[in-house]
Amino acid sequence: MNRHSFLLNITLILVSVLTCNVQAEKPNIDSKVSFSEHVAPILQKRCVSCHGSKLAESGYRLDSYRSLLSEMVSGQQAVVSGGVAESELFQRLIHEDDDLRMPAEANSLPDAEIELIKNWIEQGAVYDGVSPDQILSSLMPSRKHPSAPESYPASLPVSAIAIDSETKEIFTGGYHELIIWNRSGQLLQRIGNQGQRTYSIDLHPTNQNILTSSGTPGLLGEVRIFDRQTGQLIGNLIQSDEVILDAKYSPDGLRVAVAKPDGSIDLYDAKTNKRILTLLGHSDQVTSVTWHSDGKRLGTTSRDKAAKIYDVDSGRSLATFSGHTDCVNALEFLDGDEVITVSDDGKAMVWSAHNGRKKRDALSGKTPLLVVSRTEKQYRIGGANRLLTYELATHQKVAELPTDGDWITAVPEKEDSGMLVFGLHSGEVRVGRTENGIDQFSAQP
Amino acid sequence: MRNHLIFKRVIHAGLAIAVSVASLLSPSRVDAAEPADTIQIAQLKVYPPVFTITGAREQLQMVVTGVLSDQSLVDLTGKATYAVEPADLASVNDQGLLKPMRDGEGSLRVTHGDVNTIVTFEAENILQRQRVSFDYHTLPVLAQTGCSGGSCHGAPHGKAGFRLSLFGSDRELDRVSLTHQMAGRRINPIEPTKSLLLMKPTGEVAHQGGQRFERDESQYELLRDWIAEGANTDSGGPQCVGIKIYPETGRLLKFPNHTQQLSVIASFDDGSQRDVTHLSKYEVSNPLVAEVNRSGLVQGLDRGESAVIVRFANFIEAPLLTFVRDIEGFTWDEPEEANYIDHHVYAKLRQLQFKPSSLANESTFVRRVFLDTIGLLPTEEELEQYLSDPSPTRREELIDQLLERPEYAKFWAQKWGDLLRVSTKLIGVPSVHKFNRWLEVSVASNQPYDQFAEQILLATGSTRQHPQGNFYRSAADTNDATETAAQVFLGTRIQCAKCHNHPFERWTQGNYYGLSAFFSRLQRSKTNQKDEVLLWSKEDGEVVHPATGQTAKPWVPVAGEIPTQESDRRLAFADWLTAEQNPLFAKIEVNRIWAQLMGQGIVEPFDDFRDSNPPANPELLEALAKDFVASGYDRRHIIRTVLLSHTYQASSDTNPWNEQDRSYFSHYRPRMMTAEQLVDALGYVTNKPEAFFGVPVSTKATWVPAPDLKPHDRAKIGSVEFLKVFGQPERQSACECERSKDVSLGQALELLNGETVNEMITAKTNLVHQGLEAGVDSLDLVKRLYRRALSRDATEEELKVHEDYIQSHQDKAQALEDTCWALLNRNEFLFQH
Repeated sequence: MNRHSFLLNITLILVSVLTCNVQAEKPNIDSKVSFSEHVAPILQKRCVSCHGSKLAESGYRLDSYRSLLSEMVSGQQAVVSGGVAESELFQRLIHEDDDLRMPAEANSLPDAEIELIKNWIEQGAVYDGVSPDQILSSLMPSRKHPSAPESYPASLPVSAIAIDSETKEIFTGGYHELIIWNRSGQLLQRIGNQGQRTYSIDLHPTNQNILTSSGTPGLLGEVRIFDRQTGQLIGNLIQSDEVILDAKYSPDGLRVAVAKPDGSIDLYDAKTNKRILTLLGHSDQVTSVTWHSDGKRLGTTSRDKAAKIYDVDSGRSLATFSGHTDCVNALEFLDGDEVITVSDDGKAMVWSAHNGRKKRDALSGKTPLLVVSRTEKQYRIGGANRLLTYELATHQKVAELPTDGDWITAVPEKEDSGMLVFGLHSGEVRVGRTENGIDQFSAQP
Repeated sequence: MRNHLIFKRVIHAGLAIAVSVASLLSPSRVDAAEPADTIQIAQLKVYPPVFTITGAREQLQMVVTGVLSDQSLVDLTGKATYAVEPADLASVNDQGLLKPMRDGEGSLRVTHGDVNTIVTFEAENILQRQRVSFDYHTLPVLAQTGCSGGSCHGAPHGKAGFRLSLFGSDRELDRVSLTHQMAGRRINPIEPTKSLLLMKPTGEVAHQGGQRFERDESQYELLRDWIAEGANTDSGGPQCVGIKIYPETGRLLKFPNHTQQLSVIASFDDGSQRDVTHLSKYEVSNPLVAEVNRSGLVQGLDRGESAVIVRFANFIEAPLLTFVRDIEGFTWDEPEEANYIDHHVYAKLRQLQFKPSSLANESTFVRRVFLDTIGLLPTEEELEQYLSDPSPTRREELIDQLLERPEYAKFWAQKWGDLLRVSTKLIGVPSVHKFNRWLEVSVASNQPYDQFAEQILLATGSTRQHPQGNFYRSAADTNDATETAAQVFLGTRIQCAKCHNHPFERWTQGNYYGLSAFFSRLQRSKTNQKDEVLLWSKEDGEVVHPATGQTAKPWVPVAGEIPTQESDRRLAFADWLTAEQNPLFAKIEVNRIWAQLMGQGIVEPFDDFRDSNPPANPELLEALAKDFVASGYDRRHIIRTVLLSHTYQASSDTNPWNEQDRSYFSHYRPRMMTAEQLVDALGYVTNKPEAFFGVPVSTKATWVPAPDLKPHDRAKIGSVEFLKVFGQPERQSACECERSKDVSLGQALELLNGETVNEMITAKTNLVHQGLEAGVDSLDLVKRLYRRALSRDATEEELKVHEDYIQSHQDKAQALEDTCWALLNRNEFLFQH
């Protein structure tokens, strides 16, 4: 008897696939359904969070036309041109079993949206964008945003701030607008047609362009450029499916760096608005980009708990700073080859830009640190309850400004040596010549 | 998508088969009782009888109970009709939810059939604006709708970058996450309904967590208004001091009247009360027995018991509901009760309509009781002696003999070694032997359990002189000592509370540090002797609560903060622990003994006591604990009492009226022998006992003092170890769960062609080969193998099969080896049954 082997009796359960009977209707030739205009927004809104670049449930993505049409892990086609019955995607939208119908654990899509998708498939599932690899959010037409409210019913956190060093005018991000104030808090100008929230404002070093990153949380991100004089939208570099937290001009104003939600950084030519290069390396949303004054290096921070420095010409990563235990919010180049980063973990860390090693904790607390900026002789760290100013040469703390638990949410990218200004979660802006003479105003129309 | 689909189909198909088989085997369920619509109600009771509703956002859930002529109760909340007087004062829906429309006093007439009753209520401040409370609206809504649950944003690192504290236990963390983090993205102060916090859970923005509520539900309204009011997170105002659930624990529901609406009323420190039924979070402890919806409506699914765990703010209650059902053809035959254990077990079985199995036959009993008391199979001689004993009380006599045997002490000392983590890695080889010896003497001398616990917990001085002090070497710091003491002596897995409030229990982080304050002053000083530590107490030193920064005062469950001696705080803990009034101490140990003998605790897992994990039979647990205390914490007495019960002695064969029972001890639950029992059993059957390193040659696996006595051998790393494969714990944790009860492929392979079994079967010095050499007849050897392995004689049929097989082979030795191997792979051998 052979006791050293035994039979594994595997019972295969054959599953008969239900064939759904869907009445094929005549396509409505009168109303041609556009992928970019009609279908992409539905997929973007309803599906991409589970079937996209961050998460691909069941191995299936549909964040571009090409991936939408590719074969699924199961071997089926999600979309078959002209055939709704064979299009698994469509069948799953109308499935009777709650466990199988998409979107998972939610009500089925509104009939009108299902109808649009059906018609699009029946009309041949045609693509009407530029490249089938474009992500859906970039397909959707550059939008006209709703007007800002005349006056705000509640305070909006100041999530972006900039200062014009010549005029001393202060720019803040409002609700669907940019707002320009004088230093005593008088409202000078409102620039509309902007995304819901503005996350960064950068003034071009030589011309009149205002570079902004913005978005609607969970839905949309944009990088929009406005003409300062006319307030007109003059450029829209990118659309993404999540807010864009930062976009910065290079010191010479020739290039733009964009911190993208998918963990990459795009570099654009500021004249042509064309993308030059994409920097890869972060594994989660990029929270900030900071140009070195030499214009050759770019510092980046990310929710992946790391910060990096890239060579912007070659796209090579020069150093990676790993040590924070939570989202890294901002980075600044200090003197002497040093870099400082601040994080939600409550720490400010100083690193060697040369070898990526950590030199010391500049600050260690329990509450998040959100911003860091520098002038010629000083650097500042802002967090959940105070703004600290240090001497660059000595690293000695020279001033501490408490904010009573009001988070410091924005400092200007290009600090003005004669003027201290920052924005707060409460919606206030503080401004002064020095830490000892601070005024404040509510940056809310 | 498609593979997803196929997977689900397979599961569904599997379930369908399981269900249909079950329905073939079990008597059909007939709901013989009448539904509530037709039963005769003697009286209606409405809860709460009087109530004042204060505030525009408040409402009141009524619970209507019908009292039948036999005094049994049915929930009629969803079946009664409601009429408010005056009619414009409030509205009431079909499920008894009352919403005031203006201020005033009024009455509610509740009618069912031709019975009715009237309750009064008052409504005030209904038309004034009532701000949404962060603590008592916002956070409860997030808990109730699952947002802050452990598998979603309440996970230690949150989900998709959004982290909430588990069920809202850390308001500061939640405040920051909701209002500040990521540039305040979750809240839109300008257009509140466009807040991510509302658009995600309603599905307007794609949400991995699915749709959690609709826009017309009160949960949506509360979150929306909270944002619109400025996302206020002030903690001012009256503080909640507790919740009260109606009905109280123990309500009996009989199919087909198996629904129960709950009412949850929160009390505040200003004396006010609020109905929070629709803001509480509900879970059931036994999802096979009951389910509960978000409004606190419980629905029975099957007979049995389940606690409903009700959570509001940081308060938890867990009322128990019992569901019974008339089973067709069920009769109660008044089985004989051997002692109080049977009395309580049978009462529960009768109530739930399970019929106990008859007693196991003699050979099954002998095998079972040997394995449970001394860990070994009965020898051929012991079996013969018992079976030929004509005494009518031979079961009782056997139990008494076994409990006096030295193997009993060794076997049970090993169980304690597991819990107290006796291992060379933690305390070194000499201490392993000393501590094990101490445990063995404790069991052999039947040391009262309270003294046993005190001697361990209060160990002072040299661990060489007081080997039980090694407890504090395995539990090498304050936290470890706290957690181990809580787990072993309080049956509580308190570790969770170290970092956050316990997810299923009323244990808070404060309690954890309060408990650890008893152990914080204990010092462990090394001496120049290897393996020796001096235990002594400092007179100062405090534990600081990491979240509040405050000094933790010594605290124990039920009694709360208790005074301590400055000299050694452990004294106060041990005094409290072993006091007769302590409801936990005795229950934990009797339940542990029960679980070791029955294979399943009355509370299961047996070291996880909590309100949300109720005992299968509270009366039985109570009675055992009472007997234990009355006997002077006599562990042997409890073991003996259990072994004498007909519940223990019942057959593992089921009948049509108890095969569905998994919890109430209607039949014996077969279980695989432990790793150590199995090795000893294999050794005995083949007469090739395994030898172990570092102990005398004849030492059984069930006596080995530690799992890691053998030297560290790099060459052996990765080689399969039989004991480990069968679940022997490494003793790195005080949790009983460390002993794996899982059945694995590795085990099957070990038994089929593993080295250990193969060597035993093929050894020339084993029973078979020695027997053949001595000229013993092959079939006689087979008969002996049966008696050794299964404690019974082989049947004629079995003998025939073996005879045919052996006859057909030239090589008798090979054929007998095969026979032995087949026998050792039978479930009847591997299992204790």
